[in-house]
Amino acid sequence: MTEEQDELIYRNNRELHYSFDPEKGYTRKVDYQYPGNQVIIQQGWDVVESRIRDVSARIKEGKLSPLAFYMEKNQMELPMLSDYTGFMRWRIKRHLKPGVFSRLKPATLTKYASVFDVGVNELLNPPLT
Amino acid sequence: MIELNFEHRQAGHCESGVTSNLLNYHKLSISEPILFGIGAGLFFSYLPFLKMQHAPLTSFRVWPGMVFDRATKALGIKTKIHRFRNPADSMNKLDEVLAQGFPVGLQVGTFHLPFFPPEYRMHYNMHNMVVYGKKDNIYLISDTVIENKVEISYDDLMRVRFAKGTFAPRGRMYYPYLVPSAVDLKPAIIKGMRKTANNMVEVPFPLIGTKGIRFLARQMRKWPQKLGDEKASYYLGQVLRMEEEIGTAGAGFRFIYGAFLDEAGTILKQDWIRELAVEMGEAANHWRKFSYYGSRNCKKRAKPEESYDMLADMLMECADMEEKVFLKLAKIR
Repeated sequence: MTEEQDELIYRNNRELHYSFDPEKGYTRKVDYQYPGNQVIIQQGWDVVESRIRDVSARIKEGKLSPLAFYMEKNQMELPMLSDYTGFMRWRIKRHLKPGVFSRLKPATLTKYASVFDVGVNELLNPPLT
Repeated sequence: MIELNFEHRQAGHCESGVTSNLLNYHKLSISEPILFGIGAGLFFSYLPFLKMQHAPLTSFRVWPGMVFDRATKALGIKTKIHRFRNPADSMNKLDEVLAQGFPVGLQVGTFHLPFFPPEYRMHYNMHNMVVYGKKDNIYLISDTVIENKVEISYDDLMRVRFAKGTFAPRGRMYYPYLVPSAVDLKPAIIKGMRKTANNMVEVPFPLIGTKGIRFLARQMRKWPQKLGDEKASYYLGQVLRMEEEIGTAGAGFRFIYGAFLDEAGTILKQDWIRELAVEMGEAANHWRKFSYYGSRNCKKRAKPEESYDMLADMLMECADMEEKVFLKLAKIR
């Protein structure tokens, strides 16, 4: 098999890799992730980006609250966000409605903001894409 | 301030690497592949009813914690394992154990792990690393994925220990405290081999082992029609991401397992096991080829003949190759 030598996308860290060659047997080397793997890691992030774009559009249309943006940004679905905040799932679902979200108490907003690592102001005005 | 004299070594699989490094601290030197094999770390399961990041869960190794538990038990090493409800308790206990002079293994989530490469920061809760010291409010960390030793703050550490979601670590910490100066690897190796062979070819359930690989292959053929191109490509990408995990070089831990068979054959003085290591290596290379063509497919660079059908055929071949290895390995006594 000849692998195309593509440009590396990520050069943040080198890892230990095992490999096998019928002549040389098992070997270990420390290197960047090989290009094929980098492609699929990037694919994962591309999907996250496209979900953020979709949800941004729906927030602009007034169909979803800013909470939806941060859920996608942090890749958190209802069950996980419920675990992090301690809020029941049905409550979070309600908070996805712009009307309900705009009337939330400061304490609730602060809780969301801390889970998403942003200020309350940023939570209310997400950087939509 | 505590700083234990801990040697940081990178590894191909975080948990067996952590186990190897922890034992090394206690002057027991066992390689990562041997511990991976004794802990029966190799596995396959395809669980379409469980979703992870919007795609079916595929796993190429056993559940977190099992490698450490099985390997230390089989070698007669005394260990302590704790889980916690209360995050503050978990940090107090960690400080206490460090003060006693033991480096500690932790299961953590990677999403909020500050020293992790950004491209890896997904919600992945099966990562393992070692804490070997503390300076004021900063903990000293040896993470087998990262090239050098790193540090993490008290708050960040508490956060990653209590990551939420699938396989939430719940503050899990573990450490060996009584390690014999020499152990007999042979019975442990044989036990580990039988466990893995059993998992891979003998469990009468269609979603795990080589049966699971074939099940996935049959599903994969239908993905483009059933899901449409975009979703099919994402599902495929998810299989590949799990196969890669971190540092497996595209073969879902098959290379490490092959290296285990190679070393084990020498330790047991049984040449047929070293021959199996070669077969395993060929299977691993086939997995890697699957991963390579799969990633081309995800990148929409695939030629028509590199379709899902071809990938499914390759998976079937991987299953056949592994089945041969494990049917033979099952006969070890």
